[in-house]
Amino acid sequence: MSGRAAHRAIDAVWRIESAKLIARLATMVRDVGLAEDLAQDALLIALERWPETGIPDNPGAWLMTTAKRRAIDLLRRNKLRDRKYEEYGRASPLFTEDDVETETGEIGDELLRLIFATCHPSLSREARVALTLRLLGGLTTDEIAHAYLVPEPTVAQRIVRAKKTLSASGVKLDVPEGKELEERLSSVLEVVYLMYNEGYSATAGGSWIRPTLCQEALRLGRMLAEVAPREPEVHGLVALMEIQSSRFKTRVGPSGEPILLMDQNRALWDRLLIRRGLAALERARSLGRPLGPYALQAAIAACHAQALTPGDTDWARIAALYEALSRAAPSPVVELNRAVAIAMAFGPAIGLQIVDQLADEPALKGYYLLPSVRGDLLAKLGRMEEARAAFERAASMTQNLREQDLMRRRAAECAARDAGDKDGSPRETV
Amino acid sequence: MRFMILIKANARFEAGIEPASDRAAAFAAYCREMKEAGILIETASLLPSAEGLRLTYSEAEGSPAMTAGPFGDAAGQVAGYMLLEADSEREAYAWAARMPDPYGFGEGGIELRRLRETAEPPFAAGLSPIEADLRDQIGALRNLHEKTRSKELPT
Repeated sequence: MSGRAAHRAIDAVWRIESAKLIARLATMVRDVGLAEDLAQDALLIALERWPETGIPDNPGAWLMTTAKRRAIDLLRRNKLRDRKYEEYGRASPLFTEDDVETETGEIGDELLRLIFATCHPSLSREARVALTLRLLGGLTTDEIAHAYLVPEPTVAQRIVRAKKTLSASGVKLDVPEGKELEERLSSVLEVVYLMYNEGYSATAGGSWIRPTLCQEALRLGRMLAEVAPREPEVHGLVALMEIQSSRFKTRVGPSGEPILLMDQNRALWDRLLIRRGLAALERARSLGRPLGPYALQAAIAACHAQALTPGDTDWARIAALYEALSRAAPSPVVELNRAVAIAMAFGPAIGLQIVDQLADEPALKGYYLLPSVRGDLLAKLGRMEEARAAFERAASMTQNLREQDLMRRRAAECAARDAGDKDGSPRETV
Repeated sequence: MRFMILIKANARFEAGIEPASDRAAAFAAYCREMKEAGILIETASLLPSAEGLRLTYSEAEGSPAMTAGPFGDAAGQVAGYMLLEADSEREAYAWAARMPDPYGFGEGGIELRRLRETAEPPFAAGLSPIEADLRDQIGALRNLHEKTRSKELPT
């Protein structure tokens, strides 16, 4: 095997195995940062040996064995870690070196413990996301920096700080229970959904990231639903991720261009994932509490999933769900969504009224999709000159050249139709 | 939140006199400690202003006039900077206060300044699923539009 091929293969193994490796080591040494160091050591040893020996049959187990050996060495050798060693000895008195050879037991609990640590409230939100993407998503600091448009050293330092904070504040690696579980769950859900979206929108480039991150997020979500079955938002988030995943194959065209929901081939949506999503949503509803933001977004996604053709979409229901969402999690962009759904259900004139009310919203100042929506609504009302002006305005507000081009073309279309009207040629009602 | 420490110059720095080796070692140790604590993003020292150029804008929208250094007013010049990430101003201050006396003569000073962060929270960039929904809905609005039109065309 050539060195380069070996490195690519090792890279792939690392993506798949690193989270499990770190989770298991963290349980063993009781320190997230130390666990990552040990996993990295094992990776370095693999990088040195595998190009010569070839990739072992079970590379994950090999890495785990190597890292555990290092862990045992370290725990024995390092007097400073005596206390941790004792703790470890108490925690698993039957552990012997022979055990490292066998790979048994459910990894699920260890991953859960790790995510409750990486999403710990003692960390800032940015640090939680960075640390979780790094340790559970297997992303490099460079990829995380790229995804969030911050300099790479900032992300690297955030991760260093986060690990220090966890060590220093003696965060226990456990899955909280009762009231504490309720409190800490929301920050975990937030990070899981960010991780899912990172995969779904694939800002970090490489095509491997998308499926892997989405699958990991979905898997973590399903595991969380088992530890916290009484929390409607856990089921809501799972439902949302399942339904979004059902469209995974249809949302990108052959040359990588995005395909909008209404233009997707619905026959290719994954019915199994939709069924699972609807079932999860039903579980959220059956708990009898008002739906939270995740469950409401899942309910909106479900409306689309249940419409056999775009024309069957229940827009009135979607508008009502956006209204509920804007009460549960107020946001001007949610309001803009509601305006479009209302226009779809009850006509462009009412939609336009809502959009115009949003014009003074400070958060939407400079947001080019506001005039863009306004342009579409005006065009539908036949007010072509105003529509043209709105699209021109939208074009001047975005830096994205493709979007600029699209907005300019829309403006030109409106201008052409407007001129047509003035010529006295038959007017198109739109 | 991010902060910048501006290390101000003094006459010695402006004259191009390098700090004594014990000063440099103390500063290196300080940087290392900050790096290990995950505070320090990056740091650099500048050359004296004699190596710099100044551009001044004397009329609105006009082209700037250029002056070569040195710029005089040694204490007003910048000798170096450090970019930090801290959880609070208090924490950034605690680190800044530990900086070894830059020149070792009780001269000069440093300034701690907070960076203006973009209004957009850094973790919302490019990641908003609600915005993706909005794009889909705009697509629906446009499709509906096209459909109404094509209905009117005689076939």
